[in-house]
Amino acid sequence: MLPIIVISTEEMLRLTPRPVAEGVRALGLSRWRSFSSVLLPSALSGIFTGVLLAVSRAIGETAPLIFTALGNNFFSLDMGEPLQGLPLLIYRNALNSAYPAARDRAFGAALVLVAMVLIFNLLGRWLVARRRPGR
Amino acid sequence: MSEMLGSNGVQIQLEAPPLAYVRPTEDPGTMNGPEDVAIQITDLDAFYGKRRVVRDVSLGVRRNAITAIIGPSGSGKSTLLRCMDRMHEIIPGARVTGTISYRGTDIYGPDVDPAAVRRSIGMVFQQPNPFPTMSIADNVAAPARFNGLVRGRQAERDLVERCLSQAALWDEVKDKLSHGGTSLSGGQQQRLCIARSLALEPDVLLMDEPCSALDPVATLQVEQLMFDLKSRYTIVIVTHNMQQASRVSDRTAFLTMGEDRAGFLVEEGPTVNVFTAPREQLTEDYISGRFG
Ligand SMILES: Nc1ncnc2c1ncn2[C@@H]1O[C@H](COP(=O)(O)OP(=O)(O)OP(=O)(O)O)[C@@H](O)[C@H]1O
Ligand SMILES: [Mg+2]
Repeated sequence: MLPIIVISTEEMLRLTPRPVAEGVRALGLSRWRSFSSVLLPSALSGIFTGVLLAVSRAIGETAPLIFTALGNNFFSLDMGEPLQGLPLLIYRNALNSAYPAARDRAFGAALVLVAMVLIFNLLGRWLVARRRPGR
Repeated sequence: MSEMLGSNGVQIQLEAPPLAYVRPTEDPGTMNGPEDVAIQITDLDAFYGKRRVVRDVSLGVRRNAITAIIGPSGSGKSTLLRCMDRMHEIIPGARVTGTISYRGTDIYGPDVDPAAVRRSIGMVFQQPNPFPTMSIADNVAAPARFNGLVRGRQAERDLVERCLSQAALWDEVKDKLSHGGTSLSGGQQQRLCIARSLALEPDVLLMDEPCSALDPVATLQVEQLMFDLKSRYTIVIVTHNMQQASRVSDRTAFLTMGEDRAGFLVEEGPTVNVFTAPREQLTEDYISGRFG
């Protein structure tokens, strides 16, 4: 997740049109001002997109969990221990879909997962739209 | 200045042919002495890496006048212009030798802050470049606010109105100041960028082909604007359009490049002289080539 965010953020900051980037410098603004007030805001929607893609992807990641941490079947808030992952929950329960309770759990978890991704996306869009001046 | 432009002042003035512009009594085309010089360039060489692209330029820029820089593509017009507000050096590997003095100080001197130079000497680019995430009002006010030139909402509103009026844009945008700067037409965006520069109270404006992305009407509006501004500002404009150079400028500098492909200054003088009775054969060839 982090590498995707870092790379996409870097690219987005580089994508600021050159005339705009030069325009800021030509106004005699300090480098920090140029960055915080013009370059960063104009790259922000791109940065959000990158973060959202990365988060949405990481949320749905199943295979790495199966091969590494393996999750945890019990409720836990201990960050040092493996936690239950939604995709993993779906995977385990779907394997046991002969049992109605397990099948329901799998569908329920899938719904929660999809809803979370949707909410992340809407939140991101809203944040981006809010920063843009009206048309 | 804003009083000169009535509610539809721009349109009215546009109908007058450009040559009917009223010239100040004191002819801005003539240079009487050092007191008429805003920027003095001496023995300037400019490089990109090892390559010298501007060679040995010495030139006094007339104060309160419009100086046009003309010349073939690649002759170093933009480079020379960018040297005047220390924008050249933001390109990695680019450097300058020689001196450029402005108000008696060498802007390349050791104690000079390039950002301070750029605040006094504004620059308008070929592509209109309003800040995409800022409103029209903020495009004008924010740079002034960041540089500590305005404080308080009311002061900012006054500044926005004053600069937009000076840039002959106020009437067109006064009802949508909170709209995005990039929602305007190209010509309006360019005038917005000029207003943004004016908000920093510069006394020199450098313009690099400011009309080449604009249609003829917007071009005339920007030219009219330059005309209105020159009593208070010193303007240097790079242009490929010879008609534009001859109709807006008081003085003209002609650059061309030599065998080493480095640009040099062929001559500089009152626009009328450069266009009708150039001192140098090179100038005559270039100008007649364009018009003939
Ligand atoms: N960023 C850069 N890096 C390296 N070389 C450059 C750069 N910008 C310009 N040059 C070179 O410097 C020379 C002068 O360029 P400059 O842009 O000053 O010319 P110009 O007279 O403004 O041309 P034009 O009329 O096409 O705008 C050209 O040969 C160009 O290739
Ligand atoms: Mg150029």
